[in-house]
Amino acid sequence: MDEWIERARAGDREALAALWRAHQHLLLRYFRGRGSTQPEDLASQVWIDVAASLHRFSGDSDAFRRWLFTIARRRQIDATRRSARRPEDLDPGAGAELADASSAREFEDVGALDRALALVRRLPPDMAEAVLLRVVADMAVDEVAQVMGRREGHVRVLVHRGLRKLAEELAVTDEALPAINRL
Amino acid sequence: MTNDPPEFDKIIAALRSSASADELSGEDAAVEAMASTLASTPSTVRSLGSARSLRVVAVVAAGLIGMGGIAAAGAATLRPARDTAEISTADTVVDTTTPASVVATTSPATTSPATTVAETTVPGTGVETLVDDPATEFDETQCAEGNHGATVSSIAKETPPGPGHGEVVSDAAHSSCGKNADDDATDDTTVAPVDDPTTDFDETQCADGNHGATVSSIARATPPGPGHGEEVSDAAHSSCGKDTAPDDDASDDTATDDEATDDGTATTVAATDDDSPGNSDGHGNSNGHGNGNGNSGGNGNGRGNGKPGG
Repeated sequence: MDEWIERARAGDREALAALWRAHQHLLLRYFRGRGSTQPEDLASQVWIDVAASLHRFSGDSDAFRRWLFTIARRRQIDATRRSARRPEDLDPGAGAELADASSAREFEDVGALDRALALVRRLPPDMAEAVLLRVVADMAVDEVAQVMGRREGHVRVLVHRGLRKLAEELAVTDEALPAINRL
Repeated sequence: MTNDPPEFDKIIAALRSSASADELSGEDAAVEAMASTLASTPSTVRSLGSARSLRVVAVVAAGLIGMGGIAAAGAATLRPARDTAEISTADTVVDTTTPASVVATTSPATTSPATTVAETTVPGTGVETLVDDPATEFDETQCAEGNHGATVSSIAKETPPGPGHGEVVSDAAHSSCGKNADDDATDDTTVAPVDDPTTDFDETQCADGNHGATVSSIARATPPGPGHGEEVSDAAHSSCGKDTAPDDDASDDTATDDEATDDGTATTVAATDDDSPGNSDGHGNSNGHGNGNGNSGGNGNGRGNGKPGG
């Protein structure tokens, strides 16, 4: 991965593609989990930002991931602000998806990922973000704290409570506790 | 079935699952966009670099200017401590300030009694007079051009570096050199009381130019009864005894301003030195020195004593 970053900085298309393949789905899930109605568009903006600033980036793959999600977070915030200004941009389908999530068990045709993201979206925004960065982006707590601009302890609490809420939604709180504690 | 722990693990596993084909669609277009953006980056880097350099230079310059302004403002701020003791709030004031504000043009003595600035006014009109300010070592007669900032700058350049350099420049900055007569509003005081048509009170009754005293005397002179209150009210609302000219300069403001709307504050204490910063005339932090760089009036709001730069 580190080599890809170096080569991508030099304009190597193969390396750019490798970086994109390694992270694109994480970005999409992050945006979807945050309630974005146009995750593909936001992800595209993030990659353009990455390409425009790649010459300034230095670091390994972990640093790249932190940087990537820091940019993604900003794009998400921008999108949220735009949506607040233009409520008509909100996707009416988002509510339907939440309804799907609440009755997910009755709709076995809904994919596991969609169900999971729908459940995450029901969390408070901070919790959802912490869970997404911790679970989806697979970042360490301190890295999540850096991206979110929070203290590690706060992030740890957010992740724990978020996962616990997910377990409550699934009515598996007690059984899920060991897994929650591992995360 | 649905309450077993694997349900939770499924959720976590789904969130962490590898990319689906659907999620990776559009790779070519994305890579193309990234590559083209990246290709345009080198020029961007250069422009960013030069922009950053310019920004650094600008920040340093702003810092230096700011420091100069602060130094000038600080020095000017200290002066009122000396001048405050000389401030009088009486209606007849003898100007005892240092003649730092002497660069002045005045009209003949048509000033109202309340705004006499006897010692610093020079009869005649449009004549700019330079007088050395004994408060500084800088000789104002060196001042050739009516630009305070430019003069201070030239003094700074001409004075060789070393001990005393700062002092000389500081003196120049604090001097009245280069200040235009236009900046000194000593001639703004030449406003005689005018009958205020909005009141029945005849301003010509106003004898001593003291608004409060006049109103008080009217109140005493008017017999109690119907019309008394109205008469006194008219007198109070009249411009009698007020400095009706806009107060742009503290140097003429030798009496306490009574009308809040006149100078922005009803508690203004007259300042007799136009070098005095602060709220001496109710116009904010105007000071007569600018920042020594030809800028107008340091923190002034454009109505104060700031000297226009070159």
